[in-house]
Amino acid sequence: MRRRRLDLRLWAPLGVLLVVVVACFAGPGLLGPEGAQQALGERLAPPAWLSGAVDGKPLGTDAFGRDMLSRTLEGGRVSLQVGFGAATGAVVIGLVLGLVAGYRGGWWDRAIMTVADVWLAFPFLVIALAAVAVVGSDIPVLVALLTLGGWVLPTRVTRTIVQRVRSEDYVVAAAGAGASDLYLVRRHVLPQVLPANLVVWSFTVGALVVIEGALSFLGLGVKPPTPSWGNIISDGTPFLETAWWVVAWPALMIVVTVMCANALGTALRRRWQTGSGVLDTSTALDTRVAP
Amino acid sequence: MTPVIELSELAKQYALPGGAGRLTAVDGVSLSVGAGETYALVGESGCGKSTLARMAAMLVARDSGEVRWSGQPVSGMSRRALRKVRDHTQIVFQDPAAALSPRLTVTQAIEEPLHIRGRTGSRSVAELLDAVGLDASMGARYPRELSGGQRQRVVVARALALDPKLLVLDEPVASLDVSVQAQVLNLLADLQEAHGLAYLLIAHDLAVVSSVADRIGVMYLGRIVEEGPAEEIVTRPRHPYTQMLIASVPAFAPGQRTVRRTVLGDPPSPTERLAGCAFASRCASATAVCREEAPAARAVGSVVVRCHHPSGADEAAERLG
Repeated sequence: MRRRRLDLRLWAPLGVLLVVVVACFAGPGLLGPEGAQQALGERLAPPAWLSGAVDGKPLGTDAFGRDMLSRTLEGGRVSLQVGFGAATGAVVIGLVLGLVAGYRGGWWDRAIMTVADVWLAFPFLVIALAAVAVVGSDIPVLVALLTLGGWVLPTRVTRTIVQRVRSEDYVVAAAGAGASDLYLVRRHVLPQVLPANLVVWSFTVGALVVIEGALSFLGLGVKPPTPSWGNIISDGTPFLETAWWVVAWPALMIVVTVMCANALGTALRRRWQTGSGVLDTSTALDTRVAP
Repeated sequence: MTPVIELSELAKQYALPGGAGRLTAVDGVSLSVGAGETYALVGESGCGKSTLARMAAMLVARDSGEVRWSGQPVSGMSRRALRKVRDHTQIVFQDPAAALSPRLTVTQAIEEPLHIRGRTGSRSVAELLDAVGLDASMGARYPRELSGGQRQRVVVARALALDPKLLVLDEPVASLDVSVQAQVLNLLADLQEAHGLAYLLIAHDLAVVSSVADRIGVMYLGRIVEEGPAEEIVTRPRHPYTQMLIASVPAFAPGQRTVRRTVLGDPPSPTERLAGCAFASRCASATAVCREEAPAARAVGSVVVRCHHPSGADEAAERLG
């Protein structure tokens, strides 16, 4: 294969995401424990470039005088753990269920897809609310909850691809040569299902980081004093007019994370679709002449 | 000698979506193909010939009837046992672009059957490529880098990898350019001679079939309506449907006029069960008995025909009488 030029549309969002992850998990440790300590004399101090800023708190402080830089980074731990963890869980479940539904078909297919349809009919936030009220809101609970909220999409994507691939002539030919189901899945089905699910995974990370933020904002996330982007925003909302920086930094982090996750998903999809090597000229309309 | 493949009273129905009845694809078909023989199955789209091809290759399960490969009844086998005898019959599909994975190189595609059966290295890919008239350098290419004719040669090479006794050829040249069709047909003829292969050739085009087939079976709505030696079927068709198929082959010489027997309407829906002959609704010589009673198979000369009024039957009777 020819070497491609470095694809910035893929590597830029991936790089930014990596920086965010490393900063959130390593950053607070490097900054030291004083960032999490309350300093009531330094309440709502502005960022370093504004007058009234406090030394050693470059992004300002919150209503308890805690350093916004280390608060924001630490808050990312929860949001990212929940986002990445739940997206991974959802895709793993979707992969298994989609394979079973698409490959076995029949009763299995009907059962799994019926559950998926019914699942989508439930108002997810209301259920999450009830569940958190009953079992609490530790990180594992949130991951499990959001996994249950996200498995339907990867299941459907997987099932659709499996159904298409297993009726392809080259798969039928392999079966006709004596291939086992395991061989067909491993050799022909998975190579098409995995890249598609990587795309789904990427988009799901973005969506779940937002949902985690919303849950925390509503007070359904992890309990204070553990920060998460959602509950920092929630805490900072009363001071929005006088101290915008309390809300701005975690909000910015959510926006950056979600945009990068989505951009990564788009880039992966583009790569996956052209990577299969099939250029369908009949659908490749030139948008300049055929909008 | 035991036929390479024997189908007896094979039948297959499909349930229509939403419980809207059942579609009869194959309705009691029996045929057999001997070693080195080409049996061509012709008929129009939707007559069930592709389903029959897949049933012969044991890729579609039958509802009733039996499939025997060189005398071995394979239709009752478990999936696991069947996998071990699958080298007997291999299938070649109509569209070689769909029959090759875009992710596998030519070499990987041809090696796949050997790999599946744990017989890698028992045959060299170069030898198989050579057998289908492709250069060994093609092995590193992907299907998208090949022409339609080259792809179909790769598909044939893959089918040959397991040393089958029978190739089921499901419209092997229908998707190819006319100039390439003859090449592929010639290749198939050469391979048959070299390996003593039996072919079950599925086609909708009598022109393609008449030059290569030893015997022809004409299929209409899931049944074989006429069967016999190729020359006999092409030159003296007994069944009105066969006559219609032959008349629809365009004349090659300018000025040569053939009497066109026009096709009357469309075939009846395969979801309905008809009392009489399935062709009666389109047949110019249909009588009352045709609409009431399904015609049984009867021998007329060297052919077997399912028709109440086969042409040539009366003359034969006269000659005898």
